[in-house]
Amino acid sequence: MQRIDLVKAVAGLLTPDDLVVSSIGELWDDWWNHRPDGVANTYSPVILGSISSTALGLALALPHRRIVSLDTDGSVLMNTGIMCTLGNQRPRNLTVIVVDNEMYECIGGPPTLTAGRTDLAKMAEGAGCTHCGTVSDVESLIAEAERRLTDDEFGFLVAKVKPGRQHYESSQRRQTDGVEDKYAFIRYVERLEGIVVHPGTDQN
Amino acid sequence: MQRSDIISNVAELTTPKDLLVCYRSIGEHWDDWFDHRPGRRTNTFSPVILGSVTPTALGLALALPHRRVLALDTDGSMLMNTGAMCTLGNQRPPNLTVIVFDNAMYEGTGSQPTLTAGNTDLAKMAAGAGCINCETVDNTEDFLTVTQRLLDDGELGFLVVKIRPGKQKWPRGDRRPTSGAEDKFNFIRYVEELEGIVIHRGAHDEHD
Repeated sequence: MQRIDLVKAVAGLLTPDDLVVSSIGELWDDWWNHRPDGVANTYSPVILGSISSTALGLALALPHRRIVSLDTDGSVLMNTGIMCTLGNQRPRNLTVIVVDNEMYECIGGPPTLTAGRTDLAKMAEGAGCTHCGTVSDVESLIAEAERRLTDDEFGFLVAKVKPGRQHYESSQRRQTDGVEDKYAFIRYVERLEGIVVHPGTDQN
Repeated sequence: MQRSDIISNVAELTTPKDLLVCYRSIGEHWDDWFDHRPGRRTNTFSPVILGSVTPTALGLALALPHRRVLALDTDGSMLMNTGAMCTLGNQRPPNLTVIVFDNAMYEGTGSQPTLTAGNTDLAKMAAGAGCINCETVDNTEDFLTVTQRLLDDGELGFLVVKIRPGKQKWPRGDRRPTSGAEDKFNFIRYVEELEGIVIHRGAHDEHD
């Protein structure tokens, strides 16, 4: 299973009514091209270690809304403490999927600690998370992810992927700026929920 | 079982030839150790930064592979840097034993609960991170047996000790009379003497 296979499989399990927090790097171009209906239901913090934390905040703030965190091994390893917060909050509407290629692929492929002895699913379980598991092929991924997305309990799934990147034409790559994405996501959530998140500078 | 009971037991299980890294919580942990450390020698370094106790001990263990090194860490400190478990689990220095005093609260700042008061199990988490010989004990008898084993087995050990809150009141004369910077130099000189090496030349040498 490569990252692109995972992205297509997860996109197939979600709808525009779900909110997604995604890691950056090449995952973002994959997700940009395959996210459900191409809508702005995804927020991508540019800070390693902040993906599942952001998703946790969203899940607690919008308990009726299904939230998915598309995190990575490099990012989770930068902030393993989030597992403890997740394991103590256990929001029922949140599913964390960690894309684990065991390396920092986009900076040349130095190995992460999951290439050695670290097992993120076991670690998350120790931290208090429920429904922790690891998959390494698409069929298992679809089955395990779907179960976690529909069981109304917190889930933490590590998906082992082989390295390998998609090549996108310039026109297929994300065309927007990160700050722009933030506002697009805020407005998307406002429309979806019928609430005001950020009233605009003039209103302040 | 309270922290001061355990600290005196650690002192019995170690000698002045072991090196220790001990968290200096707001006073008490360090005062306990200061008054119980073997031979009252300066074989202990105390970083003042939460999360840096075990990483410092890891560095010492890797730099001095023939020397027995102990980390006396805490739940609050470990939770501030759980990533250290992954590095520890991948390095597994055979001469290092980590002991985490887990009172499930930030006692020194008013007893707010830590996440180990909830669902987090630090020994299980360390095992997931790749550490070996991860155990949890909650009474003195088990503590003595398990610690002795972890110190003697020639492998990395990670022991979580569940303790009840409670502070030992030390009279002023028994509290640590030194400053942190002074402790650092004392520790360096102690290691130099123990190992017969030079770590830090005096400042004047840098200008020669």
